[in-house]
Amino acid sequence: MWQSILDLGYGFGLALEPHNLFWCFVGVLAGNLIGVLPGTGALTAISMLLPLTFAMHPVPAILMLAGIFYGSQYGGAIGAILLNLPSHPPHAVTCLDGYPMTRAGKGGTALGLTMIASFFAASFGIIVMIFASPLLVEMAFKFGPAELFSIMLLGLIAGSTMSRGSPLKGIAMTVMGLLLGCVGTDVQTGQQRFTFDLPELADGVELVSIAMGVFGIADFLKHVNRMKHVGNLQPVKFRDMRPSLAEMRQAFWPMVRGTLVGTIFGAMPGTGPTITTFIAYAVEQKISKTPHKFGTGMIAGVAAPEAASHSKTQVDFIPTMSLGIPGDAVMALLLGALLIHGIQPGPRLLSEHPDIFWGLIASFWVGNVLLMVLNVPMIGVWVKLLQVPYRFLFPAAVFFIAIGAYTVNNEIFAVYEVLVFGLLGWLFMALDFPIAPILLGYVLGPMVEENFRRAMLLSRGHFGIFVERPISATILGIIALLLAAQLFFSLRARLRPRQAAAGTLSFQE
Amino acid sequence: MNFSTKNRFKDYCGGLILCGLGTAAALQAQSYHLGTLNRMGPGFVPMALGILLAGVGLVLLAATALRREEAAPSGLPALPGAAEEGHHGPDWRGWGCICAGVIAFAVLAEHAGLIPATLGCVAITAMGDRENTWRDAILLAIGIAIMAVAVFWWGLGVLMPLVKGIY
Repeated sequence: MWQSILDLGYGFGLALEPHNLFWCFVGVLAGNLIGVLPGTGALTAISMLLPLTFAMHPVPAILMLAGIFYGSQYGGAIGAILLNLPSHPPHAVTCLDGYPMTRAGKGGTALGLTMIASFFAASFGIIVMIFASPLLVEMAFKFGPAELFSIMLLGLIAGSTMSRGSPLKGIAMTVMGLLLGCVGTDVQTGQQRFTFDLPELADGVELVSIAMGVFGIADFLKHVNRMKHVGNLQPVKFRDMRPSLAEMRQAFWPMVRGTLVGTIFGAMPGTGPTITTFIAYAVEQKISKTPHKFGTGMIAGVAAPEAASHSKTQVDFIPTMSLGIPGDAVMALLLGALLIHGIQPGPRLLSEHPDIFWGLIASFWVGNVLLMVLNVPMIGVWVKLLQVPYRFLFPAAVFFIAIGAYTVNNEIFAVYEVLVFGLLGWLFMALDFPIAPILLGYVLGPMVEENFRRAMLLSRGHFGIFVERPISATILGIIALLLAAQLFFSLRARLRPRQAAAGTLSFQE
Repeated sequence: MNFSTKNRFKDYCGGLILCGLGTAAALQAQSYHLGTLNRMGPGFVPMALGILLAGVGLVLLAATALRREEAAPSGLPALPGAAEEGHHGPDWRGWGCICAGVIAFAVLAEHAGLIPATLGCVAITAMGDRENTWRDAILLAIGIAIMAVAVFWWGLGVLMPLVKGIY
């Protein structure tokens, strides 16, 4: 434990180096800005700015990318509260009580509370990360290929079945991502797979192209001419943002409970951010003495989901960094970025790249403080930005995506790749498929294949290896339970359509 | 089309696409060395994934065919969506312009340089919005082009001539 605190001190030294601090600041500022803009969330923000980080040293690069991630979550809450406009699905529940608060003239208070709740939750998440990661790393050193395969399978299955919409469709998209991960040169034999004789595909499909296609272009194709118009807003002064003592007291326990919900869900691989905020809201409503008042501007309905989303964000980094297994699409993207820098996240990251690990943790705090400081005076600017019409926004964003794809390898081919993935993502979105699992499958694909082939080699071709080793067997047991539960709930919903519809939340975007 | 027939149609389409893609991937993977369970060749995993994808497609088709008529999914009903208002139905102008904008960037970047590529990409994409006039589109394109030169060419040193043959 003392070691962790000493290491953390080292991390702070790194995070506060002027160079790193500057990129952390750029990250949170850019993330906050893009998060505020209607129609763009963390995934779009990170995909668009990812190419910029390739020329940087890995430490500032990951600090900046992480900053974009939590910065965009701060930004997303602003649109939800002031405009009833969830620029990003996880913030949809914040609208339910945040917007009524705005209409009652308490928009500033809601924003202030959101900020306090976010900071509190993020701090808690960071502390959990500091103490849980080394423990997980110790366990992870006992993992062989069979265990790694099982745990990746758990991540993939949880990621595809526990998000919004139909589990079957989620699995389909995960498999699609795994197939995309196969494209390129097979590492063990040098065989070209699915390259169709295109030399540009020999290194596989670009991560940036997939991400910018399915989260950028596909989104614009879906939203063009369909965005809500933003009317005039009352200006929010930063004097309004300070909540009164009574309001703080009302927000305190929901904030704590939201934080815990986020921490638990962050530790579970594959649970998306949207489901986390929904559950945090549902918990508040269930234990409230006045459940009927939810939706009319309850402080708890704002504080709990926002706290949950921020603690989940931080806790999500634990499996990503210490096992090398991302829990959701954003983490997959960050992991992919580290891989591009030649850094393999996993149990050895802590000993081989302590600068990345502890620098990142310390920068979370620094970044969250920066966000607090930044958001108070800048709130007026954000409100102005919210009013930028979509018709000016998306052409600029399309251009950023095109040039971003080009700059990765200075190849025009990547621009066409983006378009193809944009159309593919849009097609599947139009058919009500969740598209985030594509990215998760793509990033995990090569690792899943490698470990599967290695495990089978070790066992001389017997599948028994996955159930004979205790850790692997336990994980497979969890997967079986998960699938059984999914099947049970879907069958129950089919048998009793009416009651089930009222009892379960469905996450249609 | 009412809600449930529309969803049924979507799921049939989705199932068929998955079956098609999965079969194509599995067939393509057969041309690589499959190997044995002990020593897998490069074709083994793609083949298995292709079959799995086609299988998921078949299950989706079957589940859709067996599904009884149902009500609209409920849940939290009053959720505001970002994309609820405005134009409905297929929006060929928007889709066409966005695709054309990306292609314009690729073609112009290869043959004409950064400035023409930026102008072309932004102006064409902007015309996809029904409220943008040519004047808006061109002004926006010029603004973005100035920024592009400052940020990408001057600031980040992107390797692309400003205008091919001139600078």
